[in-house]
Amino acid sequence: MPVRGWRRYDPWLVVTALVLFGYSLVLIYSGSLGQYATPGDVLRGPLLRQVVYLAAALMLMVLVARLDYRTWSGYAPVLFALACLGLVIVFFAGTSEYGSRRWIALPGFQIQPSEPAKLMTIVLLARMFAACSGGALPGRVFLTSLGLAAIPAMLVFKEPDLGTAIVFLSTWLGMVYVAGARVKHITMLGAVFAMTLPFIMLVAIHGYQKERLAVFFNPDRDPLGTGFNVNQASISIGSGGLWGKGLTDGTQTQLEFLRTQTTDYIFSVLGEELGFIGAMLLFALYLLLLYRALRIAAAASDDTGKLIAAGIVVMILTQVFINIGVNIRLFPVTGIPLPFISQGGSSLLSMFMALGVLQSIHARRRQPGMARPLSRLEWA
Amino acid sequence: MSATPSGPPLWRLWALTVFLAMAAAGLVGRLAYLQVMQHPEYRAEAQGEHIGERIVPAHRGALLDRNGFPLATSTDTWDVAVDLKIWADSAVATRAAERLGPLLGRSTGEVLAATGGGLEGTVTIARQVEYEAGRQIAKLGLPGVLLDSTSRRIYPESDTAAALIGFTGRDGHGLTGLEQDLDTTLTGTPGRLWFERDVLGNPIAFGYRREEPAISGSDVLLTIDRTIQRMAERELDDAIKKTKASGGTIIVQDVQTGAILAMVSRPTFSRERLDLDDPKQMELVRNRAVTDQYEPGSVFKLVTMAAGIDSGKVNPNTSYLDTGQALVGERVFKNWDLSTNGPTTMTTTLVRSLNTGTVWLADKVLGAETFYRYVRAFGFGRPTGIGITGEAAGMYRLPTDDAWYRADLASNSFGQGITATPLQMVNMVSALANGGKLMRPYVVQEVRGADGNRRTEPEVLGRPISEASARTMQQMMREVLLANTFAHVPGYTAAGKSGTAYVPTLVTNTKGDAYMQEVTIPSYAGYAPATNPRIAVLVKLDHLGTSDFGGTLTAPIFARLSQGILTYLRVPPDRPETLAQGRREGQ
Repeated sequence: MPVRGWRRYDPWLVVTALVLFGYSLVLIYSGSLGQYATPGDVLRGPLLRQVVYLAAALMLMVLVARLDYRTWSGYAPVLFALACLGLVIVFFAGTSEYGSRRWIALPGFQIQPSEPAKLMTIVLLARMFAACSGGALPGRVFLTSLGLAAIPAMLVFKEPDLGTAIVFLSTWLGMVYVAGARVKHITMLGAVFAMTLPFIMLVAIHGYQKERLAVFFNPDRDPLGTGFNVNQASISIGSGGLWGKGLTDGTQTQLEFLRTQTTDYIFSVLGEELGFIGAMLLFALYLLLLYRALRIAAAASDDTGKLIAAGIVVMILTQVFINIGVNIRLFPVTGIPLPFISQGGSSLLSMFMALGVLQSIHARRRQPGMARPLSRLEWA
Repeated sequence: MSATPSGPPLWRLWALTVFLAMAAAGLVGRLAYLQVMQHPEYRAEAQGEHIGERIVPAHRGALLDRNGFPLATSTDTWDVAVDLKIWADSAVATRAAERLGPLLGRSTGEVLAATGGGLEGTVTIARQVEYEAGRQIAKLGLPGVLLDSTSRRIYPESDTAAALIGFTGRDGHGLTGLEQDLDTTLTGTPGRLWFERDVLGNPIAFGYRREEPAISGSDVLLTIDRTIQRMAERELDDAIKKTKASGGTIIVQDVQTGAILAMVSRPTFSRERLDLDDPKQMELVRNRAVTDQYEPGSVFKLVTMAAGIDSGKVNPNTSYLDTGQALVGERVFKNWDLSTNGPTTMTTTLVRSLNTGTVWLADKVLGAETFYRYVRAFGFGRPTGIGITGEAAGMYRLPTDDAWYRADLASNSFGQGITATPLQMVNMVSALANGGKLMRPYVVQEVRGADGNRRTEPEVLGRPISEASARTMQQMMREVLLANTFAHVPGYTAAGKSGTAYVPTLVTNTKGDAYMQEVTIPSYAGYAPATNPRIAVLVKLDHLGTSDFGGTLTAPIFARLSQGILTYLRVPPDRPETLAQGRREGQ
């Protein structure tokens, strides 16, 4: 190995992630004040729990970073199958919250199997695409990969969790594009999708999802029901203005007009209390993080690494876009965590695990003057 | 195996980066629009949302009798409502209902049933819950249970003077009677409360708060005396029971001021049993003493006589020749008893209530113009302005009207073919007793408001006759009463006149067939004591059979009531020697 020790890794990636986490603690604190008797209770309660999650997440990141992704990604089919099994278990034994069955309860905590499933799908797809080297991606692989990505997407869609299903499919789309899929294939797929959309709406979409869609276009249709949060989020963010009302001073947040204000709607807390400037700071952090990830992708020593990194970028980007899009009414309501920011362990662990994978790729990057990459493992 | 990342071109990765940048730009653009461009609107909306405004209803003023006893008053109560969205969770609803039930005096099932099973909005499940019970409910802090501050109207004297007082609707505003007529006075000015509120709309304990206090409605002191009112009601009810009359009216008026001391009419309603949707029952709520008119009959002869005396054309001893009938135009008028009396004085005309006498007076002596001038001067044909909605004016035709005949003048002279309200009749008698001063009758003695008290000053409407003429009339009325022993008031001197009006009426029998039947409206109007008049009393019964005569039915009521009232008012008897006899008679 040309670079040894900690210096093999990308410090910016970790630093940016930790700053995001710090930002998240501040927002969770402010968003939780209304629900706890004293600020001390907030510190001892949700904040401490979040820090414990971070510790676990950091350990996981280090572990994954040290592993050679080229080795363990060979087991991608198995890992993928296990992840899908987890999603199936959720279906039968999961616990529900807000009308959606997304969690498996274990003694002491809950896990959300869709979080690791996203990463496993990325790894599987990367291996698959990397296996067909040279030139454009054959149509057979294009369809097979779509079919594979559709499995977890369908499973989470049934939970129902439309947002995560979209993350699976858009990650696939981003990866298949980077992997060199023919534009013709993608266009055809788009056309088929556009034509079947009415039937999907008719058959597969839940009643509540149709309602949310209607409310998206006109929140005043049901201002005290489904439209309530949509309106409240807009009011929170809009009333925040350029500089915000100041941390812990947001009326909509503190008087609990916002709901799920430390998870799906944490961006509204940010928008209200820290304003446009605070949001720009968050965007800057995300851009820095994704820029580092893209650099890692570009410098990856093999296609698998490049594609995994690209997949992670698309995954994070999609989640950020959907979550903030819901908050600012660019996207119909669907519950999805804001990466590194929303309260909760599963998302945090999965994000830091992704960072670990990125570090692993980074550590084994192409070095200037290095003649050839390490040997490629064949697609099993 | 190729060396560098092989197949897929690297530029696709950068194309992805461009897409990422575009997505980011989209978010930034939208955010700038929301937070910078639309900021003022959203700021206003946020403020409007967490600053609540609540109307604080003003306490409704009370209606008091002339001695300050409440006839209608309000107590603070609560309406209990339920947020159905919160109660949609049946476990939450059941738990809340279990604790709510005992305080509302209902079972858990009844409480749950009261919500009607809807899923959204709020439903009032109990109205006008006692103040203390409401406070206890508030203390429980049950999920989804809301309390609205309301009030309940209480009528401590039950249905005493119900038609006069009226009642209020659910919104607390008066629907009928004085509750309606005095509504603005009683209502006051609602206050407003601004407060910082949470998402459920509940005020925040230490939040922003500003209050514009409600100004309580004024209390209204009426001229009605609850004791006199009850005496009158009891007399009327007894009389109706005894005579099977379809209804009746009694009004007691203060002779000197015009203040109404009691005002009863039957049939009436019970607030408890009233069904606002039943038009038949709603017929009962009007104050018939003021809104209904009738043909007064012989009591009206007082007006004709007063006109004769005051115009100087006759004096009590002026005689006319009673031939048993009088021909006016093409109509022949006879005495009620078909008697022929020869030369007869004016006093005898009144004492024996001879129609031929008043016909002679009006037709031969006064003439239409003078007669109707006095009729109008006594307040007939226009409302008295007592301040009660729906007051009737009464009707009669004038010579200038196309449909007027000379015969009308003749029948008007003894109170037929003319209508008046009971209030106008008693007010006319008061004017005779009050030295010829016609007062405006009133029921509001004093308004006691936040900005001080306003007393009603007695108001002279006019002087239909001179004081001397009034004295002459008083002497004649005294003699009229003395001739009718039924009307003697034990212990007191008194004066008065009876009347029996014959009214052709369309009656519907049990089979539903309508036919004409002549019914009578016997009445008695008088005042007492005759030496120093204090009260005027009108007693009137409706729709009796033809065989009854006014003087024998209504005069005893006048007598008993006058005695009772004067005793209650501690007016010293001016004829104490008749007391023992009266008591014996009364028993």
